[in-house]
Amino acid sequence: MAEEYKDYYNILGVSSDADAKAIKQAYRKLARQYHPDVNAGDKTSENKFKEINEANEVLSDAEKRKKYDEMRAYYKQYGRWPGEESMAGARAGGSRGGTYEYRTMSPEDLEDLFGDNAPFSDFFETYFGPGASQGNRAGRARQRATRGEDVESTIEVTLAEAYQGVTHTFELADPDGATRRVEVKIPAGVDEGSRIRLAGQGLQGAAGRGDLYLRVHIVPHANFTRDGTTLRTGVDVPLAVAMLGGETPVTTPDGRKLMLHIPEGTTNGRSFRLRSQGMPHLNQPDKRGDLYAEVNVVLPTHLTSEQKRLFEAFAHSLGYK
Amino acid sequence: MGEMRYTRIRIERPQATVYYSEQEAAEYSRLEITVIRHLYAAQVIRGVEVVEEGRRYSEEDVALLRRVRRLRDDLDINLEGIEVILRLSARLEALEQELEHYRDSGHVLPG
Repeated sequence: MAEEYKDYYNILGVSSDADAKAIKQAYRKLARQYHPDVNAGDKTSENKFKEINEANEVLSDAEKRKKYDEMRAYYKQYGRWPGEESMAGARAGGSRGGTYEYRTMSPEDLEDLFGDNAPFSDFFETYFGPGASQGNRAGRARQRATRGEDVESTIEVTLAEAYQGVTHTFELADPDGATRRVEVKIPAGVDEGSRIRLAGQGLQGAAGRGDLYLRVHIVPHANFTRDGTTLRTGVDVPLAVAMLGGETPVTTPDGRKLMLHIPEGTTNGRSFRLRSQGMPHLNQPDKRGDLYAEVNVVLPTHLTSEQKRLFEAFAHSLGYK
Repeated sequence: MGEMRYTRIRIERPQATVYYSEQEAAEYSRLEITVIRHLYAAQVIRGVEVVEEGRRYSEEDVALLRRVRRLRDDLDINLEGIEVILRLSARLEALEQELEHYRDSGHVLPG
């Protein structure tokens, strides 16, 4: 059966002697109107764009255009395409195959835009795109399929572990039930959403395993909040220390106690910076952010009558009645 | 001495994903690395930071990069225009999902 005649010049609205620039301009003008990237879900536009893209694929490639012009001249003279019968026979016998590189779009582009629908007409497939259906799946998908797919899994890391870095042992269970253990170094400074790649620990493929990505979830800490490499914590300061000055301990995520100097007259809510005691920078564990300790002045409760009398005397000295 | 405990991770197909290095993302999207970095800085693509290895891009990121290249090369739109289009598209998609969710929860929309 004869392939439907495709007048690519007419589709792009250019004359048969149009130069490359005119073809490009015509394609862009029509693409603006019908491109699937700006007409998502519109089947009419999609079909129209297929025609435009196909015409551009042929006419923007000097070699293909030359072939098309020769075929077109032959068609006009004889009413059929050159070698039509043999091409039809070859198609019926399923002899198309091999790979094919499109000039204007990659196989991934075609898949993005048209999914599993054929992006080109039978006419194009027959004369310009041998193996187009296979070509549409070429490249990345095939390359990745041989290696096995990557897998992502979430792991929980405490703030203390992220503060110091830690080594964890994981037991990996394959779909067939086989297990293996791997030791994983979780470096200091990892944050929410950080990925740790374990090369060759993903799904098995024909040519090896993909990778396993461990996505870090930082378990919230009751005493610390984190903002990048900055840590914040609260520190209880007795009223007498806040008023008269002194020292109070601040505990770091790894359990160390740092003595914080509290100057006299420290107000509730005041923040003190402990330089370089915050979270380490990822990949630069010697460099740390700061730790801010916010003062929570603790008032004495259950005063004895003597303490109450003394406090009243103190209040009176400040002018309170 | 107590039994040693391990965190168990199942390697399963539903969790399958693909991450691309910057070079792979450039190859599969046919975009320049400088453009990819610009789009990452502009938060058009999300990327993920892989510890001690740098940034990688998901399948969705690379598909978006191909769309960027098509918009640029096929439609002659500059990067700033593309950023606006992609942000508006994402907003529209989010609103459509919100509307769908609203409908699914039995709400009647005002006529």
